Amino acid sequence: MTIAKALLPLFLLVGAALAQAELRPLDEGELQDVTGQDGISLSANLTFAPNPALTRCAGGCGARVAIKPGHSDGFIVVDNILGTFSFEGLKLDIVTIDSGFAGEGAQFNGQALRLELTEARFENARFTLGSSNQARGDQAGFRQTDLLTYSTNGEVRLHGNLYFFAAP
Amino acid sequence: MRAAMIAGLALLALAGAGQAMEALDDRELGEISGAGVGFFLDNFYYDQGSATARVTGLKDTQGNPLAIDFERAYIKGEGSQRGTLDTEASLGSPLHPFTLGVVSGAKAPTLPAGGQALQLHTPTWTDPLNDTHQYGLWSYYQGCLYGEAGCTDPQKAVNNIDVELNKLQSQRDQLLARYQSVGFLTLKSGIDQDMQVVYQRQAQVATETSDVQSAYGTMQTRYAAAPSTADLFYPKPAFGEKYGCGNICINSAARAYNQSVDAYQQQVSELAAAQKSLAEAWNTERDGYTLNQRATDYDEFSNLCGTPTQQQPSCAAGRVKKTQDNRSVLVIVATSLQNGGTRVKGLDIGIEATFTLPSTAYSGAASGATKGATSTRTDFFSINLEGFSLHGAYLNLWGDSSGLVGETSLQMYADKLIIGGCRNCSDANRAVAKNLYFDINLGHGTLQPLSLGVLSDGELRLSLPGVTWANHEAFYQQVPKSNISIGNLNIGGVDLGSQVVRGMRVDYLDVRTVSLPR
Repeated sequence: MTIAKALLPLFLLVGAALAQAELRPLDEGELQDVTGQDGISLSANLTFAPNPALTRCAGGCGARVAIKPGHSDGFIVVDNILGTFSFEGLKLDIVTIDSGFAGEGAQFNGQALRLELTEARFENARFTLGSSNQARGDQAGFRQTDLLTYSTNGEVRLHGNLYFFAAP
Repeated sequence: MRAAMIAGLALLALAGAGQAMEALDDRELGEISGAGVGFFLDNFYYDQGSATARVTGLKDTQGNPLAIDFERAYIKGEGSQRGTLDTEASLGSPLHPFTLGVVSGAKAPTLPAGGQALQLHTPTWTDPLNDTHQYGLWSYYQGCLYGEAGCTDPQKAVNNIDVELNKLQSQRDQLLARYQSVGFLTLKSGIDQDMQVVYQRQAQVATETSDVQSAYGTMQTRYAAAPSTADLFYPKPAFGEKYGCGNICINSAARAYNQSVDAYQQQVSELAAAQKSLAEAWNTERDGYTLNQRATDYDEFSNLCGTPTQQQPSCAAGRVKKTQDNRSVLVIVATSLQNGGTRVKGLDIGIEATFTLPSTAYSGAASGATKGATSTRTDFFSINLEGFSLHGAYLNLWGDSSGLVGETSLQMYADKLIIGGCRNCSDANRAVAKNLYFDINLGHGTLQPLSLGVLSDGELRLSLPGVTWANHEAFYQQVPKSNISIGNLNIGGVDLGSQVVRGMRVDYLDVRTVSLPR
């Protein structure tokens, strides 16, 4: 056993003690200053790529969401979700509403989660709405009725604040 | 309890409160869970901008594919000049938010006893200008769009309903005067008494009708069996006429046929006599009026004022009362507007789309048209809504033994709906509906839940169960009706006036998709 090895636990202990000294609990006033000041800014780029193994759709199928209403034998599906959906600078914040809104703000006087909407971009995004007898599209006896296919490409302008709060 | 504390801490952290972080006790947590979520949108607008959007997968009746390209779509605030300005909209407000939560009892009174439902409720106001029921009713009678040139007097609606009410009241007064000396209970008992004879004679007519049918059947059978010539000299007559040998035909089949013609004619004259005596029963006079007149009058009075319960009835129900109630709603709305009251601003929503579909040219006469080449045709279509609101609408969803079921009430109001088929034209070439009010109610929690499911073959199914004998009384009393009204409809510059469909109710509905071969 070397000296270094023997001393290591000691160093660790001292280190831990030093660190502990730095971890001072914040008082309530400081906590208020820290919490939720600027909110969060979210940027995302979601891409759904086709899976060539699924030959049901031309060029491979995209993502599939199947919902089964209670006691139903089949599924409502959003099928073949493909393309890219992206946005930049979607802001999430906690705000206090206590004024504005034609006098309703003062009466409301509470906090709400605010989502600041922003421009969104679609790149060859598409999905198909339909109903099907199976959750997955790759099993025997599969049947599906496609109602419609929606496809979009380009930038849409979306502006506004969406507020969420606990309803009475 | 540890999980509860974490949840409590998380909630406090989310709320950003600077208070001491106390764990919530079970009771407090119990109060939190189950509360719904409220939300609203402020300073909002949506514009399709430079993006392209397309709907495909639809087919025309010939099975040819159809594509819809959305050139433009927007949701903006009222006054956006059909989307050209980025007017900001508010959907709800802090005190009038959309709510999503689990409800029961008074908040969803039609649910089966003890049931709970997931409810999405749009912002709801109770003041007369923002309550869609009240404002929608007023706007129908007003006819024109309030605030436009020539439509600045909100009393116009009240004047219009007064004309309607006066007409109903004068009908009522006429009937009251006609039977004042008789009394309505005496009138009813007189009708009931005279109706006994009518019922007897109706039964007689029914019997005679069936006798005629049976005699006709016999005549047909015997005609088929009758010879082409009877007793050497008499050729077979036309159906319904007799052989010339009459009752002394030697040929038994011919004789039997001749007898059946006589029997048939006898039955026909008996039926005519029964019908005549039935008509006489309807003409029985009492108190100076025929039974037919009295029964019609009594039904009309019941319609106007409700079923009479005394000799000189008051008018506590029926159409007169309903119109009076509507009138008081109109007065409240008109007064609020006169006092400078305003509505919460609605939305401007619009789409402009082109339909691309195959088109086949035909030439020649309609009977023998020659099919020409099929080319692709593109049609333009636009819908714009101005001042649209959905206040006071809700959707309740829950699950029962039959699956996902629900009930919904849609309260849609729009100042204007403009439907166009031309890209560069004015409203004079479009269909413009003003003061549009849709009060659409589908489903009833206990009596007629709207059920949504997917069948085992993958087909979508939407159904409303039919009314049954067991529940028909409650059904027609409780299942809500739907109403659609338009203050004024103008197509291509021609005013068609107000349009209304009242009291629609779906007795039975079963919608299924069918996958057609590709």
